[in-house]
Amino acid sequence: MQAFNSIRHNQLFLAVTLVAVIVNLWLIYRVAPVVSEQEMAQKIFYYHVPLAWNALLAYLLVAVSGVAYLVTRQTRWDQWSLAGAEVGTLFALLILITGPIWATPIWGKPWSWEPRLTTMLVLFLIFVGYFMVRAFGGPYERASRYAAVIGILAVIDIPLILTAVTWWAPEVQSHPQMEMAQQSSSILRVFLFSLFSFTLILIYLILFRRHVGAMEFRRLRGSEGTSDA
Amino acid sequence: MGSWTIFLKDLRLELRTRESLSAMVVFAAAVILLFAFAFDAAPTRFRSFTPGLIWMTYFFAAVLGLLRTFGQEKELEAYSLLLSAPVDRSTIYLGKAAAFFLFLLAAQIVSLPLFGLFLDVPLLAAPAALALIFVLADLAIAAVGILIAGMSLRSPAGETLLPILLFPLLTPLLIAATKATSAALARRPISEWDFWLMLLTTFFFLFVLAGTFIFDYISEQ
Repeated sequence: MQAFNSIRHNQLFLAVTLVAVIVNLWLIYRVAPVVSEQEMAQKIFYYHVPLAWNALLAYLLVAVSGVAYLVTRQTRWDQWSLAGAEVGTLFALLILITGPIWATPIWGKPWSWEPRLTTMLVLFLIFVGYFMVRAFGGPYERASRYAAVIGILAVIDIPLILTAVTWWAPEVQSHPQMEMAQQSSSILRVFLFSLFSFTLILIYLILFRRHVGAMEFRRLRGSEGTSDA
Repeated sequence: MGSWTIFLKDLRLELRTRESLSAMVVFAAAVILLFAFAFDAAPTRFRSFTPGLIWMTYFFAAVLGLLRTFGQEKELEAYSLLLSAPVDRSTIYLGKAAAFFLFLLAAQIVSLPLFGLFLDVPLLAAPAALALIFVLADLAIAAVGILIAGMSLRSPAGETLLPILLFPLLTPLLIAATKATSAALARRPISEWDFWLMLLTTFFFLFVLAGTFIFDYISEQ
């Protein structure tokens, strides 16, 4: 099997993604205006919010390919599910890191049990369980099936967690509502470009991880073949 | 019909051995006693925490009960035999979930008075509302618990996986149950907190639906 980055269209995709990332950095630090009351802390939103949107997108992929895997039993769906889960959880971890970095100067404390931060933490914990099922769930095929189930249950749980924690303490509603339509258009445009480039990063990483997953599966099947012989 | 048979089988097994039930009750009693010692200094000040303590206690008790219920099935390969029965897997799921719901409720009926006795929880403030909350929450715990236990306990590290998987998935349920309990204990009118009951009900229906659909896929050999 060919290495991921030796394939022509993957090289092209990587180049486009890298250019987008560099342009994005330039836009964030040079073009986007500084919001007066938050100063530089506000810049983290060009990372934080796109990461959040893309993490949820990745988790949606986990659930959809989980259903497809349970129904069809084709390994490629399991590889999509694993790729989505790993990249989604990486993004979720970065959200949990960037959130408190922003909150420390603005709210005066890093963590405030605010609904959306709490939701992301719970979701992150569910996916920690997902990886433990993969690692300790038994034979490959069975562990994959169990992991698919956790991915589906997680997505069913997201709206419930969101409702519960939003109602949990309605007075803790300090998550800044990014009413982008009301922001100046220069902020909005940089934000949308950042969203675009983070989506490129997400797609690139998922494709890469899925490719590696397929290689791992081949090796696994190959070694099983030789041990049988 | 098949669900009913499995429900009766689990019930009869439990009545003979009383393993799950006694494990849950004894654990709950021990924890309540520990809480009583820990909060001895100012029981009234901790009144706002007790609904949370109640549901944490019953979450861990439920994990213990699930471990025992499936532990019995594991012996003599009974679970594999059960799965090879010529019935739909979802009937096994529904039967076992119904039985576990009953065990959990029974364990709570026995141990809940200890909360009133040792921690001064005003259980008689709103008995009907409390009963409704406990029935709804237990249904939901059983719906998720049997699904996750049926899956994780067949894995090599099942005993570790069960609480790790169950706790984050049950988070919205534990929040809703705690909030509803504390509102009921404070004698607030039900119209102020029926939202939490609705959340418990939605949670139950979503996960029972998911369970009946999914259990088939997780119980293959």
